[in-house]
Amino acid sequence: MIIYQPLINNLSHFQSLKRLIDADLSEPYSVYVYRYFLNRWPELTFLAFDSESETSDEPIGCVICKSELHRGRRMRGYIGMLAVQSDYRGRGIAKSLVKKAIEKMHQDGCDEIMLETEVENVAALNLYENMGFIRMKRMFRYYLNEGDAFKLILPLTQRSCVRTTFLDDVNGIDIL
Amino acid sequence: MDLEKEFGNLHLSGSTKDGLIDEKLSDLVDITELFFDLGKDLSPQTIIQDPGFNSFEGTHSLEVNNPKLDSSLISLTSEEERFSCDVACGATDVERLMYVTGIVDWLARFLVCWLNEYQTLPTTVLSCRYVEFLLTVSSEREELSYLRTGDRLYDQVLCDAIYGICYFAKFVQKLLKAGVVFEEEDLNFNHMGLDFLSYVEDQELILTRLHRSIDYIESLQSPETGFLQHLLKLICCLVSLENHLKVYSADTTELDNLIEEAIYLEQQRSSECDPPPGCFSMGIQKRLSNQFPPKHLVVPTWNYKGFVIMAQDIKAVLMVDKAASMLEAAQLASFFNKLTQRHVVARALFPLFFIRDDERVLGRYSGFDCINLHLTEFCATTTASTTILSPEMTPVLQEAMNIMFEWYQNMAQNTSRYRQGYNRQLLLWDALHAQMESCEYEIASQATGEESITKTGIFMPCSSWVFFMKVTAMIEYVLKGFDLEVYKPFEAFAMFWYSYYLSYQQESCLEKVHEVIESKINSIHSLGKKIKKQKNAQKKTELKAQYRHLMDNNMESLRTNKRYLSYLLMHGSIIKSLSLCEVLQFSILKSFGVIDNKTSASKIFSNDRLLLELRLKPFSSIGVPELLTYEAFESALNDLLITEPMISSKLEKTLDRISKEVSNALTAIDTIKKCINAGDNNGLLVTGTRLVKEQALKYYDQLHASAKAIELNNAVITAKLGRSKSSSISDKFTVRLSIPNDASRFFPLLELTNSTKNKRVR
Repeated sequence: MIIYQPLINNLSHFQSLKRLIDADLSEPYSVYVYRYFLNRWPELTFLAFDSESETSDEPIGCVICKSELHRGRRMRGYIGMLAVQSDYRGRGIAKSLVKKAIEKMHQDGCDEIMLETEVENVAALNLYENMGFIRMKRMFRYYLNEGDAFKLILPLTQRSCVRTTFLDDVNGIDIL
Repeated sequence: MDLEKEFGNLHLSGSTKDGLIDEKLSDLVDITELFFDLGKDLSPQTIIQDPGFNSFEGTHSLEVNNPKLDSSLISLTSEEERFSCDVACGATDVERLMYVTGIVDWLARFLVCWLNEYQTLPTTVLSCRYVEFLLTVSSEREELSYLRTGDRLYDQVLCDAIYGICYFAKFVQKLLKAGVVFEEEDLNFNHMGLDFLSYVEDQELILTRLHRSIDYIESLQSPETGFLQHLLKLICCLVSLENHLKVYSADTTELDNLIEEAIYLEQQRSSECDPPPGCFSMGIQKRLSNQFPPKHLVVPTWNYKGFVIMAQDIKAVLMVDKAASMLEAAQLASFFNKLTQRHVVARALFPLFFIRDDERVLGRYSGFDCINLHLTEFCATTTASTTILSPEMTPVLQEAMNIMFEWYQNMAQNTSRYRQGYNRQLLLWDALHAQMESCEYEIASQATGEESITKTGIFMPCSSWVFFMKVTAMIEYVLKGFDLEVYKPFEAFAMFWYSYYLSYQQESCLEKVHEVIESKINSIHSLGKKIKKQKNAQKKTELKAQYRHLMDNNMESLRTNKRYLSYLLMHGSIIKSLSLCEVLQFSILKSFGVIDNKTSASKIFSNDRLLLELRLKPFSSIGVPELLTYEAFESALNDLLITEPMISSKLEKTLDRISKEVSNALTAIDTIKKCINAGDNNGLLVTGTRLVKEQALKYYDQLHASAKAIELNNAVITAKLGRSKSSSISDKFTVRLSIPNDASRFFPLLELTNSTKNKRVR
């Protein structure tokens, strides 16, 4: 059985998470990237465990996120990394992890969720687009592996659909 | 802060009195143990919580001891480790010649890898030990330094070739620094802390030395030197390229020479020589300051034709110097990078060559001249001159000029940035439109004559131009999304419907301008009739003089305007017709249940209204034309759906309408192509495409192919779906967006595919 838990109070899993993600991502991330996400937004990292496995305390999947005020106007959730151990793929674990993360960011007041993914990563595009994300723009040679990326956004509130320049700031004061 | 406190404890007991570490090895203190000891007290939770550390910093940070991120861990072969620039490699004269030829050959081909294939400097040119050595030594002395191996091929020829290559790289660096193209994205100039000949101002010095080396090799009278000679000649051409920026030379002699040399070298595969072992390596990434993760060297293919591409693309840019009007310049800008992304050097050069350091366009026109010409070429001197010359207009025209310059710059961007550029421009055009309208209305209200009054009220020529530019930008932004594969099939209806709506708005604006121009022409002609009727001799003479003046000064430009507007109308009608065809085909497919304009995605977090509004966010603030609401899109589609009763005849009607629109588009395309071929002085239309004839024809050929494909798709759809609805159809088929061969990427086909075979779109 797959169990999902937030990372909070589980920082001991740091090395396992790093290993899990390093195995798949084309971008080599330094320890600082992980620390940046995990130390500041531990509540926005979710782990998946296989309770029936011999190593049931080792995560077999994770999603790492953050949420911040975007240009002072809009709360933006961001999915930074998502990985599922290869022998656990095709079981909807990634989808469940992303869903949990979005639910949490939604509860926290995010207006939208954003992420980037490789244009060639059809599996990731299908996953996110099936959850309602749309491609906002294409970014030329975005990754170190020279591939293009799509920036995907899932709008959660109407504020996501207004240009930042025309939004009131979070305190309700319109600068225009 | 805890973190600062903990870092504060990390001091070195072995540091010298002034805080600097003595460079002598014997004075260095091994702090490894101390470092790890103190590090134990650091709490991970306190690390990276500084607000200044963002995800950009994170993803660009390196990590000691991480083999993927620490270039000091790169392992070199013993040959690479031991490689010395003080010794000439090769036991015999011939071997040394082969080695030097091999090094210069690799460096030349590495230039193509770097610039045409977007590789980095450290994995290409800078991976050469000699380049690193010479740049290091020369920058210390701030003058060109040479090898001292005792062999002239190394000490002179190789050095001259390397300095030539580095001088060209310096030119590329200058282009990059101008900020037109993007570092890392379009071009990587990771110089590893090396100075690329900033102390060498004189191109002649580099060229003279290259020529002396060519002479020297010739003097060897050896058949094996031919390849190296041509390599040096190619480098000479590269060194000369900076003239297009330094003195804005439009002379293409050196580019033609470059093409000739590159074609020659491309054919000399059999002359390939290996460089000495260890000469090219990842060593520089290990030795010098490196801000990037370790990266393996590229293996250069036989790629001399890459120089041909660069030279031809630069030549395409330089053609703008021959522009006889701003229309021709604008059309060159529109088409030169539209269908195929041009070489990065050409793209970077274009705006810098077009808008000079002194802000003069092509060195001929001031910014004001430029905007004045754009306006008058659009809506005639007679309609716009009074307005343009009004002092109230000066700041507005200044703003128009700034936006126009941005427009020109955007044309040279890479394919993704191009769309983003329009996204930014939309706000600028919209703000300018409001500003221009207010100013022009004020001026027109004060005017005593009937100049600006039309059937529909005050005619504002400058505002019409701004509106036209704004709507063109909106359409381009929308349709470019198809090219970049940004939209999913379910979004095709909304985007094509919006494009149709915008084309309609644009058409109305152009028709109004066309009407005003035509009335001006007619009023001059009617003056001729008045003269005939006039009995009073003096009045007749006055009228004749007025008529002659108008015929001599205004008629020609009015006729040109009219023909240009006819072209714009015809071009717009193609976009409008093809957009409508796509919309109608979508409506048929939706009527049969094989596609929907609603997402099939989970709606637990979002909904269709939000998705559409997010998609249209760039237009959310645009005043005119007003953004269509979610309900308006829904209603438009509902009106087009084919419903019971008499489905078959309704379907027939829709198919007929598509065929009619296709036919309209094809007629317009053929007319435009004929006029492009005939030139602006010989056709119905003024297209301004003289300098980009080939690219413009290809663009319209692609639209032609799209129109034909849409027509064919009618038959495919009806063959697959039949002429009556059935509940099983929606399970059998799915729709994907596909680009037929040689068709326009702006109008992908709504292709019916078997859903069991192709569940995934794109």
